[in-house]
Amino acid sequence: MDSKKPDLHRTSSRRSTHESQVEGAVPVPKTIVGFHVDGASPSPATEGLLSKEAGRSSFTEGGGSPTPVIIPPTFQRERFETREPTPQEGSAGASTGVAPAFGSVPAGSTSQQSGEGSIASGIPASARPKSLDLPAPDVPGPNTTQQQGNSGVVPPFVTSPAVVQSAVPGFEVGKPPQSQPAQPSAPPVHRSPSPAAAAPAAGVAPSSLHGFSVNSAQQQTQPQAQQAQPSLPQQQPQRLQQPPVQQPQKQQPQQPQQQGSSAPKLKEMSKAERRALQEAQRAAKAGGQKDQDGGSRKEGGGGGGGGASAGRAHSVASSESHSSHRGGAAGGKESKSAATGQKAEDKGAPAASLGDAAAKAPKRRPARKVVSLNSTELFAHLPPYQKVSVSSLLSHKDAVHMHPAVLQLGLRYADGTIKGATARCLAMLHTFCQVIQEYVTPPGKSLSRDLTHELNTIIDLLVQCRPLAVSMANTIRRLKMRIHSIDVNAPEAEAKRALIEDIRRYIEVQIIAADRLLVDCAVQKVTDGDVILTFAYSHIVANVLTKAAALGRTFKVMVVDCRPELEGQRMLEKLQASGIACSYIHLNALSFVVRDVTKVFLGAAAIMSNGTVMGRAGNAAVAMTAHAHSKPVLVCCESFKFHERVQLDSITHNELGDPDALVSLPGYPGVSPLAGWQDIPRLGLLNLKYDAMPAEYVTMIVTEYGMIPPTSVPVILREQQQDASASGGGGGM
Amino acid sequence: MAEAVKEKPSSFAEVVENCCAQLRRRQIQGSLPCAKRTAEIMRALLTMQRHPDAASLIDDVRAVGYKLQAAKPVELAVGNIVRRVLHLIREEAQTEKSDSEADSNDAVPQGKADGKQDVMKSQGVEHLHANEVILTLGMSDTTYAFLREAARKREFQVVVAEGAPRYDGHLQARKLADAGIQVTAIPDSAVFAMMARANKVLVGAHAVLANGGAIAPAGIHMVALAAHKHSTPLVVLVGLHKLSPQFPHDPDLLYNDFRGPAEVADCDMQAQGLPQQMAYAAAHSGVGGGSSEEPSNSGTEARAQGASHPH
Repeated sequence: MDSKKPDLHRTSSRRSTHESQVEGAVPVPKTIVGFHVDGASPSPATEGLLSKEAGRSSFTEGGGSPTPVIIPPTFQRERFETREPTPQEGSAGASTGVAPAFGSVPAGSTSQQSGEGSIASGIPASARPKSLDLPAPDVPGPNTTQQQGNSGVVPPFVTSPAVVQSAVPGFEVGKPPQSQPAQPSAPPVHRSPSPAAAAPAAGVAPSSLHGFSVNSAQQQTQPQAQQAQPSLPQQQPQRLQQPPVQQPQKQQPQQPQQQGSSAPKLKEMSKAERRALQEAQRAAKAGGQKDQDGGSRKEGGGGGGGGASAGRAHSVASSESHSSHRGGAAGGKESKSAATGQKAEDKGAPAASLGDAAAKAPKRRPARKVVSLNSTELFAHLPPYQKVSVSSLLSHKDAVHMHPAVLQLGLRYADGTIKGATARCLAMLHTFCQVIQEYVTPPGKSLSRDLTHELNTIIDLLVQCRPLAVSMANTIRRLKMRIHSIDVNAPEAEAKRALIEDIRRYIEVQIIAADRLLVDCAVQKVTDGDVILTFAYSHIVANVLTKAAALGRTFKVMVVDCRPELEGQRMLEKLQASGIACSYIHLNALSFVVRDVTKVFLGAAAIMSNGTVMGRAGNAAVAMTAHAHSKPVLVCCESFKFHERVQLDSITHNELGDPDALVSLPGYPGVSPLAGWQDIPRLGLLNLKYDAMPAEYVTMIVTEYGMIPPTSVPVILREQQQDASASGGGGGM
Repeated sequence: MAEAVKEKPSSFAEVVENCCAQLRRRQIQGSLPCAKRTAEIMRALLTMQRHPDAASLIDDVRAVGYKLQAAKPVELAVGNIVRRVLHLIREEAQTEKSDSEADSNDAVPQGKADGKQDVMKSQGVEHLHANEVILTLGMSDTTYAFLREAARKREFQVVVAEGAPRYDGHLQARKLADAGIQVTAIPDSAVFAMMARANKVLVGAHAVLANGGAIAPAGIHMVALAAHKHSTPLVVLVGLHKLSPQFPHDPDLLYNDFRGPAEVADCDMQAQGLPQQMAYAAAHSGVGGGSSEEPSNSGTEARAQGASHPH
């Protein structure tokens, strides 16, 4: 089921694109939008870009958005579901104060084409009558998360109040009772989107904070909760006291009462109440969990080491305070620093090797229990996975002013309909083109400076949806250099045209032509009778193999795949379509088939200057196995994905995926034992997106420059830098 | 699970037949159940049939052993138990020269298999230090018992890879977490990445061969290679009944066990490939064997020959 989901998105969103194109007023930008959906094939890009100029000013003039925003089906669904709470809609819109802001933005442009049904309409949702009933950014938050994650496994305890407390902070004193019926059932663990969504409404200085920092500002209040806990007499072992999920639950009832009260009173109330609630909850837990030998767990917890308990408490605090505390930022800060110190002490010796991570941990707290203890130490330096929904995206402080294409792109990144280093980079460049075309320098500012600022805000938003890929980072750097070099006195229209022309050339030279050259190069290595092993999906490898098949070579392909993404199935489809004989195997069975293999072709997300290849998680294991069996490993990677950083292992720079993706087992009967993992205090799931393949496993790297050993990556990097510094020679920008 | 075929067999031959059928149908799975069942059959052999002397008994035992082993070659524990019984018989015959084997034989192999767990468990504390990160793959009762015992005295974390075709790592993770151990479940693809932070790898195995290689659930070879690459000690936890004197000449052929491809690629996916498969076969008759999609699931077993310390 999981494996088919992305596919479904892709196809159906493609359809919706089509619809919107039919009805959209301006025919020109269709190709761009259409391209975005597909995400893998670079070909239609240039035409769209070139023709884009025609539709340039349409957006600002209100003649219908040139880039109808297509909200992927997931989000649509969520919208429709959140529509149900009718009584509250009006008040929610009024009380948040976010919605009016939207109305003021591009209302004129988007509302005109609303006939297409909510698919194509602009993201400034509140402009349209239909989405007005969307009860403002913060309410759908929990609903979405429940729907996307958790796969419907709602713990029995959860009732509507749980949501109230998570959703309410945004409303502040507004109209809490009305928001209660909004969520019929909701996940117990509070997810990040809501506080982020709530913050602007609550007046937490939204102007200076983007999504992440808003989050952390919220989290600063966490230690309050943490400190309140140890004072409870019956719970000495710190880590035991709050299974992170249940804590929020039992605070549910008190929440409505707290709404009206002032901050200090609130704290006292909550202490007393919490104790009573905890007792009740413990009793419930003892009753419920008898079979899980809860007794032994408690013993183990009591004797626990310091570092462990600190980490535990930390994560507990983070999840808890989301739900309970929001006032008193100053007090929160104090207690935060105290907690930080304590944590640092506690970690001490055992975590010495992880010192860096530990030091950074307090800065970026996981918004939820992504991976509990292990990851708070090991992966504290990585941004925790956050589900991005339309509403959470709209709550971003810049979202109001953002070009809808950017929001669309962000959603695409977040839901995985655009993935892969090249596709993401291309999609980003197209979006930039649209933004630049419609960009108007504010009076009194210079284009080069203001446009850079504009791009930075866009990139901020994109990063919130998904961390940047190396390819994107490289491209952005080039683009910024190019913008810097714009003459201040040049007329705006001309500068913009030149800029877009350069972007177009960059795409042509660095991506499209590079791909072509690379494929031509790599195809030479596919010979008759080969058995080629490949892993997951890489569009460049797929292109190489289909080209080889088109050239009439006879060979077999073994597609190795791995959960949770199962991208190999996409590869399998593509290869089969071109008539290549394929075998499909799991990564675990690799060592069984690898002896029949003659060559291994792999794609890459990035290549570091020490030759380390970053790729989809599992790449390294495949290369290692092949290396152990003395099979040549060819990595296909365009040079714009090279990066001068050095990476030693997979942990330092990586990306955390959705942990819930591990739980669902497509095609397996019954419920996975991991279902409801959020309720198990000592269980964490980790979904790493990338891993680092050491250079020793790489026989050669195929680039558009030819085939090079991994040791020659720095040479290419140096040449590229010289190219770039020689005023945008060769590669476009 | 083994009860399905049992219906009060009358003769000893029937008992053996039943057992063979169960082995073939995977109704008896795993080394320990196989070892126990074999031991039971050996006891039945000794009690149900009288033998004039040791030589004839040895012949009988050997014949039954061959039969059982042939039913499921991959279950090396069967052969191990038979060998163990033969050894005991010979010992007995040498010392007493009498036919009193029956009473000394019966309980021994079974006791061995059961008792092993306790001995092994008790070693857990010796090998783990505080705050260690242990990596394991899939579900293994031995590993579970080992870790749970060690968790009484030590605080450590376990990283569990899911063990793809069977996903029993999920169960392992859940059980360990319920036992109060800090657990992180990862997909198999993250094993290489996480190996950089693991202090030890603990895996259960299906059998340990004479050259020190181990037969273990699919995926263990990758784990062993990664452990080797990161110089992480890999410990294979096995009971004595899993130590086999055989050598893996071509373990893929001899000792592997293949399951249906549906676990890897669901039927829809296979069906999708079918037309293309036919078209390909028609176009390239003779080339490439004509199969366009053949998901191969090397089921439960794969060979691992890393550093292994059989306990």
